[in-house]
Amino acid sequence: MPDARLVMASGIIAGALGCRPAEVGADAAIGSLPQWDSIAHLSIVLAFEERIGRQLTADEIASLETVASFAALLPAENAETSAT
Amino acid sequence: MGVDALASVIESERFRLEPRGRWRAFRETYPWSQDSAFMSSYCGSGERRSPWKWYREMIRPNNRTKFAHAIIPRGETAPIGVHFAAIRPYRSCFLAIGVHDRAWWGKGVVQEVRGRIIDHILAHSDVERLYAQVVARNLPSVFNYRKFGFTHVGTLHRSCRDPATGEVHDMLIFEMFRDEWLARRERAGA
Repeated sequence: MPDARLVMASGIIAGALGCRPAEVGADAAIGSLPQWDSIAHLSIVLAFEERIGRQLTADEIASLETVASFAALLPAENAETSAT
Repeated sequence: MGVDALASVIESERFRLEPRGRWRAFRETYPWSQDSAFMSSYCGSGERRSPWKWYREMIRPNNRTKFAHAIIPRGETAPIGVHFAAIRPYRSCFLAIGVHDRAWWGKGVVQEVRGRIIDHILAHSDVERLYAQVVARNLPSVFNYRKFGFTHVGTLHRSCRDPATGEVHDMLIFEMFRDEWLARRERAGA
């Protein structure tokens, strides 16, 4: 069963990229999808900041490369609530 | 190594990357230095610069250790941006790029230009390490370094303040070594 946070992160990324969540696999990363360019990356980060309600730190921004790294930003309980 | 070759025209798929002397580089980039939003993302400070201040601040190419390549779309004459490279005596090379023409934002200019220039630098010098410093909130730039496989090796917290907005910025330091770059190129070509 996939991690709820991974599912949610895929959904947020897909929303920012304008594609279906199924197209953003759990192993997707920067550069793995043609839509995921530098401008789309900006939209993705802003979407996550809106979701978690704060601005990311510099170190968090630097660490973002994969769906898993985005998923790690989401609080576990929030993801479970939204996934159910 | 043929460092002189670094001062030659470099061709990429969509662009001619023309080396500039310091005066021409200054003349072409000074108007861009008056674009506050552009400069803020480029270096963290959108303050209005006098010509003298910008001249002192920009990487002044000497075409021996410091290079500025104007990024010119094929078939056109006006540059849309500039790529700076400064080779340090300790076999490290500092990189910086600015694409001023907003019509070209989000069109892969940085990936194409930087990739070509890094190939050229590594082919014609003994540089072992490439590095750059990026404003943390310049998310497209962070994306580009990560996509190229650069490693985030440090953060300079609260390292500069933008006089134009009062915002304080963190800076991210990225680096990559020659063998890492070549391995990525080999994998990409495989």
